[in-house]
Amino acid sequence: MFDTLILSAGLGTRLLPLTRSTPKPLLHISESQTILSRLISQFSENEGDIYININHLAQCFLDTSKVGSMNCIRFIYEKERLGSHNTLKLVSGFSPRSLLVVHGDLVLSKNEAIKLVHSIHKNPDQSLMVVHERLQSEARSIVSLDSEGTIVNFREVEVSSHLSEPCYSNSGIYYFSKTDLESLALEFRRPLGMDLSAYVIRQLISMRLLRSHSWNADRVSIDSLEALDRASRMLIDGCFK
Amino acid sequence: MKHYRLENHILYIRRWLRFRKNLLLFKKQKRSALFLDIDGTIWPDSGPGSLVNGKVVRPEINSYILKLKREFDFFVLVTNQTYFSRKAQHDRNEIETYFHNACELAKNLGVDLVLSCPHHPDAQNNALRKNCDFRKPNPGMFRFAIKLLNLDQDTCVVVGDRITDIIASAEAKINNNFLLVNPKAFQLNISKPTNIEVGVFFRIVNSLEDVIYMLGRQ
Repeated sequence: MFDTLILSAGLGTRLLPLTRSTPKPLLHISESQTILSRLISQFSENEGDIYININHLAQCFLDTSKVGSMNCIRFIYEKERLGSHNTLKLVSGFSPRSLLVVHGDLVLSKNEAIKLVHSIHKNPDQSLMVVHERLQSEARSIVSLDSEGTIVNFREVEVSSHLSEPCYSNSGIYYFSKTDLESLALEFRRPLGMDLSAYVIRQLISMRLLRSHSWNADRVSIDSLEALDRASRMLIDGCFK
Repeated sequence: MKHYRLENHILYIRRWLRFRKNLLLFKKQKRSALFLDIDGTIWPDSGPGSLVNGKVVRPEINSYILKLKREFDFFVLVTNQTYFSRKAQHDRNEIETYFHNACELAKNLGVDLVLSCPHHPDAQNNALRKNCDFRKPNPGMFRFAIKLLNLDQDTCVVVGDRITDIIASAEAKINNNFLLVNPKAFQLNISKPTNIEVGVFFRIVNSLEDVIYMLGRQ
């Protein structure tokens, strides 16, 4: 069993003006679903707790019709936005289990999410990063793998329109085994705002401890108004099954 | 005539807890406690002065509280009460009513200890103008109860309707916290920066009934 951390404290600046009054994870992708409620329903079948960190427009998360009021949901109110590195440190100190970390702006295929959970259950001591294939011209990060699927390099890049080679890109989902989290001996980093890739990911890669898990189905990261529209349309069309 | 001291943070303590020899009985074993806020938790929040005006707990809330407190060794109420700090002068009759109502409430609900903080950093009244460690989100009330009753923080539960309740209890190392849905829950009224630099953990509930359900499912 593992716990899930859904990162939801961001400002959502790329989706202004929608995010002026609603945090990005609480935007509706269908009449009855928000991005967050969908993620919760997908990962609540695993029996662990679901942690949701909140800061920006925290009051909105009290609307249980948009979040759900399941027993397994625990909120973390961050007085200042900590950044995903510090949030991971905070939750790993509180939770006795391994942690699946999911960006709170992802709309995912349900079956593929179930596959991911099964894969983790089969090999719970192996940390992993979920990757998906895309063209370099669209990728914001490039992940290099060795022949066994272990991640050997990870770099964030500027989107460049002329590179049309396919590559693996970071999908915004990570699993950290308890053993690896303990061996990293995470510390709070100041100034706040440091993300996971700055230390945790790089450390695990340097120790050759980070396996890749390939995401072979639909997935939309809601990083623009266009992406939100696209995810809503795909949901109506029956994608994300 | 009884002399009531407004600055006293103990509004009520069960009679048998008043004796030192009885308190020493708890030193051998750590105990559990249920902490509830008053305004917005056991009755709707209608501004300062609820204890002076003598509000009544609704029967269904009363029954939830009875069910909840069965699971704990002690039942403690913790509340900020700024009614008197908003007035330049004290009215003796009001103070008497305030203590009387707190005692009646405690007896009706079977409370062991009622802690309150009448202080406010911007009080009109000189005697109550203070950055008090007992005023939530500072952890003084929780720490006081933990020490007095020899409580084990891991088995304590706190229910409040403001994030300041949760910050105060988290700072006293209680992590089993429930935040009742309230439109003003995140209106921070922090009198001084707290030591919580990072984050506090809590679960969201719509009513005390949800707390019973969630504790049952733990």
